[in-house]
Amino acid sequence: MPTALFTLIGLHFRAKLRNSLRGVRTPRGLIFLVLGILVLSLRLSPALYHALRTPRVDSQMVRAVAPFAILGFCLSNLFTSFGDSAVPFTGAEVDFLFPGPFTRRSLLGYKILKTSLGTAFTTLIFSILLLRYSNSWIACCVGIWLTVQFMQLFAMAVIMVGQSIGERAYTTTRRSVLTVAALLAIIAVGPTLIAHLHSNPLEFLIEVHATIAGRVLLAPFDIFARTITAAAPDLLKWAIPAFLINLLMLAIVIGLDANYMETAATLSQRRYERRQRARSGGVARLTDGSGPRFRVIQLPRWGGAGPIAWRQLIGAARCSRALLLLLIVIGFAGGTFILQSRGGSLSSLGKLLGVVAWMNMVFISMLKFDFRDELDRLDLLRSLPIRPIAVAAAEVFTPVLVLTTMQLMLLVAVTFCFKDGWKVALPAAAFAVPFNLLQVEIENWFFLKFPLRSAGLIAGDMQLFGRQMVIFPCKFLLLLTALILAAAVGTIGYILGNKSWPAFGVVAWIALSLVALATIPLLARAYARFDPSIDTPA
Amino acid sequence: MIQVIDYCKIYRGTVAVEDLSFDVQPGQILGLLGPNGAGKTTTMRAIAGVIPPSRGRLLVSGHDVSLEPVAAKSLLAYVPDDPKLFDTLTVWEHLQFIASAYAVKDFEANAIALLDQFELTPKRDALAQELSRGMRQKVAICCAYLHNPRAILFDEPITGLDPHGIRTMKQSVRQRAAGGASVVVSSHLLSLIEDLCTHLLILNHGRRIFFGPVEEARIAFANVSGDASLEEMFFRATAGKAA
Repeated sequence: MPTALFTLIGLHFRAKLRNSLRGVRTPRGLIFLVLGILVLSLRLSPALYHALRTPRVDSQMVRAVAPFAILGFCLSNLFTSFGDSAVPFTGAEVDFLFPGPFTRRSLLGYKILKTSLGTAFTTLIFSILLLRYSNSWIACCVGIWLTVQFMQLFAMAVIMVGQSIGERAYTTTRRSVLTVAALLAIIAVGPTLIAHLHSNPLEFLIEVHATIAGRVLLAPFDIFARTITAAAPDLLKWAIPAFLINLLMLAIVIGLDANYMETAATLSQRRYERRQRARSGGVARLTDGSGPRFRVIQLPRWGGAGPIAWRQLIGAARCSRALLLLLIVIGFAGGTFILQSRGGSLSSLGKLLGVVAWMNMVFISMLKFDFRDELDRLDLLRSLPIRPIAVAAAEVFTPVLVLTTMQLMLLVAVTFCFKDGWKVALPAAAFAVPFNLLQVEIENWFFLKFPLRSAGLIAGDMQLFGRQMVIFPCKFLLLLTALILAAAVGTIGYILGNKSWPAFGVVAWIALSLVALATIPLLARAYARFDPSIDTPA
Repeated sequence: MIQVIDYCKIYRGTVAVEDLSFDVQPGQILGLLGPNGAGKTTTMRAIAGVIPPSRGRLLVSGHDVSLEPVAAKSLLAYVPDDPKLFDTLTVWEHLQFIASAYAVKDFEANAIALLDQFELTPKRDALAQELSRGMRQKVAICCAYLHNPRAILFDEPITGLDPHGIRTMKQSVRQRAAGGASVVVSSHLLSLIEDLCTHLLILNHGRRIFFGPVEEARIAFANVSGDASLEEMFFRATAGKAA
């Protein structure tokens, strides 16, 4: 590999370090950095404590589960759009390196080396977090690093095979690989799935692993799991085969040396466009705009709120594939729970609602059809003859609508699957709108006060990590305060209504709705005060 | 010099460029003209070695871009439309990398002169992500010039540049051509082509409509009065059939 490419890797490393430390000169940056390190230490400390002070988790159990996780990651890499660009050259790399005096192989070598080095920090963190599941830190570290390399090389190899065969055959190859994997999985999972549907998930995985098809399918992944869990003396025994598997993958990639540059250039352009969309994050980054183009009925003007909400609705409709993916995730998680608790008590239903609430927190960060998607368009937005309060109300409309629709679909399933499920589903449905509205408002308020491009987050950036760690609990506390307030007012209704739960519900709902509505002017104020020339991050 | 012989590019059955041949001798500035989708960028990217040709040969100073990519690319510079820089690297680090990539020894003096020429000296330590569109264009041009290429390809080179930048850019192109470089400029700005180029290549639907010196184009597409502006020539050329 030419020295220049090593130089470039070195420059990237230096840039990453510089980027991480850039804001430290300001007091706010320094505080975020210190908090980031503190929070990360607090997160790692329990893992370290458990690993050092309590007995380690049974290796057999880890070896039963880990291969499934690795297989899952490899397949998801192929399934998702990220997998399509497994040789992911950036736009700058295409513009500077492709016309540069480098061979295709040296560029491939550069990419693999850069990616491998880039996983070092992640490996280190995960080696601590997963220490209690291993027998030695060294083995854990080496195992995780080799596994990450394998996952990347696996995706790369499949894509290189595809590219060398050609676009048409590639689709067939990918489909064939996935079909064979799916068939093997069905053969492995099928009989045990039926036999152990209600058994403990861990036992279920062990049963599947024990079948012949399971052992065949998981054999390569098993080696990586055994490397992670190896005792120090056995490390080489498992690390060497794992390393050899990676070498084999590397040999396939280098050996094929398919003329990937054209595809990589096209993909990089697509990635660049996606990145431009993802500069504010959200599900929009999961699509390439090739999805169905649904039409959305034009909304009335509503003082200017209508057109803005309409535009965001179109955005959501055109990300319908990504939204569908989210729904599948919700459906899978919720469905598994519902299947296991079918006919169960309302307490298990309570657990389900807890899971839904947690998922809500995650999905709200993805449904960015609001101010969080407008960072590069705030100039235009602010130039429109529309009052800030109308803009604020319009911006929160779409994420609330999408989130509520998703939740209602799940609640309908709950009503049918649980005995007396409607007793919980109905009030939950009623509270969904004010709760979601408040949550979206809080997200947007923090965004306008502390704007950040999620695409700018990089591994190892303690300052950004600290910032996220500070803002996230603040959001949670604000939401909790509003809920406590609504519950307190609801309690007054409960007392005044002669200990009536419906009275509690109605009063609490009114209180929560009022809080949510009263937050719109606050959001409008934050929007009105937002100065794109100062507050817009790079 | 740049030589394109029977170049053909086919995308999934669609012919983007068909049997295109032309050459750009040292000292010549070739203006690449054509409506959207004519195959201009596809041709530039193929000469730069970014995409492979479906058929034909592309040579830079006698080196085939497909067969001897490193030798060909060592002599070439390509400034794409909307160049994408490495966001987290500084301007100077871009030059540092290019110097390393093209094995340019003692690049500092040349790099400083280029930064000065394109008024980038105050931005020397700025990150690429902090630069405006025009400044990023200037950085890409500086990077292209740093290794004194024998062949230079510009795709819409003045997009985003301020008037001073445009003047500097034009002067630099003339200087490089006078120094013996073969230059290709693709642009929709006919005034730029008219001002800068010695030769013209007009493409339409992937086919060559005209190739030759600007004066010949004037004769070929002359109007009734015997005189034609480039704009008139362009419309006449792209309205007619491939020649």
